[in-house]
Amino acid sequence: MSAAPVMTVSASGPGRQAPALEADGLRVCYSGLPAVDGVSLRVEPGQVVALIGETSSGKSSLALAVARLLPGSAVVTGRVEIAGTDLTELPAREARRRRASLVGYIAQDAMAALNPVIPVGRQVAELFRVHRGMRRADADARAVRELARVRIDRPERVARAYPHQLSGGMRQRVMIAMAMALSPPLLIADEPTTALDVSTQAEILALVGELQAETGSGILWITHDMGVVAELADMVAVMYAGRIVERAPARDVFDQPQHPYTKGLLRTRRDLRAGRPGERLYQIEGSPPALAANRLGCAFAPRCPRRTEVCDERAPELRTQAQHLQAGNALPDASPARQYAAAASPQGSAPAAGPAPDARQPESAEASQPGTQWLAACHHPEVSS
Amino acid sequence: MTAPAPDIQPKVQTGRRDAAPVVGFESVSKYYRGLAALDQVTLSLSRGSALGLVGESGSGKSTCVRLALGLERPTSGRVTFRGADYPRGRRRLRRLRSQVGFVLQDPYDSLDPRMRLREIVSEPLRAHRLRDRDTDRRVTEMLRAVGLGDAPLDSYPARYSGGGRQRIAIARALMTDPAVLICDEPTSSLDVSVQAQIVNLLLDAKHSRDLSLLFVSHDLDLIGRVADTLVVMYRGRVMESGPAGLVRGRPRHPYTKSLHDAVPADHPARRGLAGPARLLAESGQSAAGSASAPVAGPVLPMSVGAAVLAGSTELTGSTALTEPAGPAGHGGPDCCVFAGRCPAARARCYAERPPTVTEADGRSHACFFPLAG
Repeated sequence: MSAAPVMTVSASGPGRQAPALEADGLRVCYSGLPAVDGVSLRVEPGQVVALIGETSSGKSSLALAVARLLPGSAVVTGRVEIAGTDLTELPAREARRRRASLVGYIAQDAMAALNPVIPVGRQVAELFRVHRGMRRADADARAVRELARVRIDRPERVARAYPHQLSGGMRQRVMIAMAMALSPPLLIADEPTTALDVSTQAEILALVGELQAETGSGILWITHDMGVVAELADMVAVMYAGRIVERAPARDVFDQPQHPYTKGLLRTRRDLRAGRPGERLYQIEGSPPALAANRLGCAFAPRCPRRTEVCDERAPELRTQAQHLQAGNALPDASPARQYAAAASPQGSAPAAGPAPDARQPESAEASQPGTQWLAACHHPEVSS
Repeated sequence: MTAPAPDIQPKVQTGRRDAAPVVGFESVSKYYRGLAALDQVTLSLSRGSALGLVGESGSGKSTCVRLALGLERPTSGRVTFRGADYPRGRRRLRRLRSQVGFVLQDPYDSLDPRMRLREIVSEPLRAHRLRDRDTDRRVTEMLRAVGLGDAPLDSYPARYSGGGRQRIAIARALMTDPAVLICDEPTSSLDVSVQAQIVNLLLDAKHSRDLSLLFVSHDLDLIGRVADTLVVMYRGRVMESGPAGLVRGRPRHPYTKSLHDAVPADHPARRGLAGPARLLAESGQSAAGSASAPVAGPVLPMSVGAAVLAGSTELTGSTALTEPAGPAGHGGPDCCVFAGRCPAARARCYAERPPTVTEADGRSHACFFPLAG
């Protein structure tokens, strides 16, 4: 489970497949407020990209925009391709016809996602009838096989059950069977284990890892749980207030988070495990911001321990961190912050040397190995020691 | 039932009352339609300490909370508050409840969206007829204590985020200066970056107000930080209990171990060492592996995979509760309820109910074949 995805990540030779997901400058606005604010993201085949985010970070809007499942009131701009196909450019009927073959969607609340008055086997079979033109008997038989594929015992019996007769873990398995039934190149999992017990969560994580090794789908796994990330992810994308603030291979992020928010999330979790009973926990101050138009500075600044004036003045761009690390090594730890503090006047005019305060500028062109770069959007990223 | 009504004056403690647990369960069973939601549960929350209830859905945690709040009565056994039974009379029960604060899981559900902050936080005073001219000042003070010092008293909860709402709920719970605070998954619906703030607030309140905490969670890491004593429940029974550090660090019961192992890794380099990947490898369900049946021998340290996979892929329904074999009060089936999921289970586990064994280090467990710990 852990070895296979690493190999696919490095498979960037001449015969490369189209990425499972390629989003570029994606924006989603509700009533003029940006929920997703210029996100570029790539999921390679066989890769698990964990999208980490909290309330109003825009992670669910991003996922729904990719699958073209947002209501008409949401304004989506930018480019999204799933295995080379842009769903957003197709006519609605065509998009609906092709969606299930391109992207599987596993929702958090399987009870709400499944139809309560139809046996689950029928619901799986429907996919094959509608999209593969199978006859009812064939589709029903196929559905039982699909249920067996997600390691459901006695699938014939479960196929006849209604959603409410199944446990939460079983319902989530059915959801996974449906999402993977047509072998889509991309799977989106929107916090599928959040409502489950830990042992059921462990089963689901193991199952998804196994199935992915079989099918080679790319997976965009949305979560706020760093433990889930540690178990599954090859790449990590951390989202905050509609933007990606850090994107890097999972191991690197856990070893050396560059963005203070990522660092805080990791420290919260480590501290939880390491501390003694009754001891206060490490806490990040404040709470995630609500949607806002024309936010000037870095959205995390109000909660950030490394905040300086420049953070309030312009939003940091997503930049490659390799250069930062090299530059940072030559400097004492706190000096970038001091430089910024000295350069900016108390009333907050922008430092003259800085680049133009264009918040929408996307990250620099990606190097030869797309999807494995280390990017962070912070004026004062962590300096490696 | 002949015991006197509990003293509701927390500041005047007699020696005897001090010694009695603030909340005590003595062999408590609770049946719903003949099915045992709680089966001979004994636990004790001593003054100023924190008792953690941990378990999966259907373990009986929430039933414990309802009994401790006095919302329901046990089918058999005793639930006590400072050594005395919960009173039967409505008025006396209400007086007792002013001593029991509670914080529930979902701050979006537990605050009335049509009430202003002033009304929400002072509601316990109104309910317990403790309102006076100073109510506004007391509400403001309490809001300051929970970190909402600048919150306007006439604002509505919609204005606040999940963390803010949970602070409001805590302020409300502390308004009557209770002796016990019952927290039912107080952080599980909050953003991760906010959870620690709320837990710290509860820990601070515990210390500064001499509160006892009854803390319910399914998160073993979290509850291990908050609670002094842990009680691990499964299908209405106590599997293991004792000092938090011991139960969490060196579990004796295979179920506790399985909960522990199911917690995800803390670093990608250690993935699969304890939890998910091992589950499949050991369960024989791996697509790459053979189709051999899970091994149910006395393997120690135990393999969790078979257990977890075998147990929870069952259809739910009445089996979610333990089915009593005998008349009410005699508990569930005469076996270990975890046996079906336990890889270390032997014939005896299916034939007899394991008794609760208390050890020298203060731990107790209900298992015929405990782990070395």
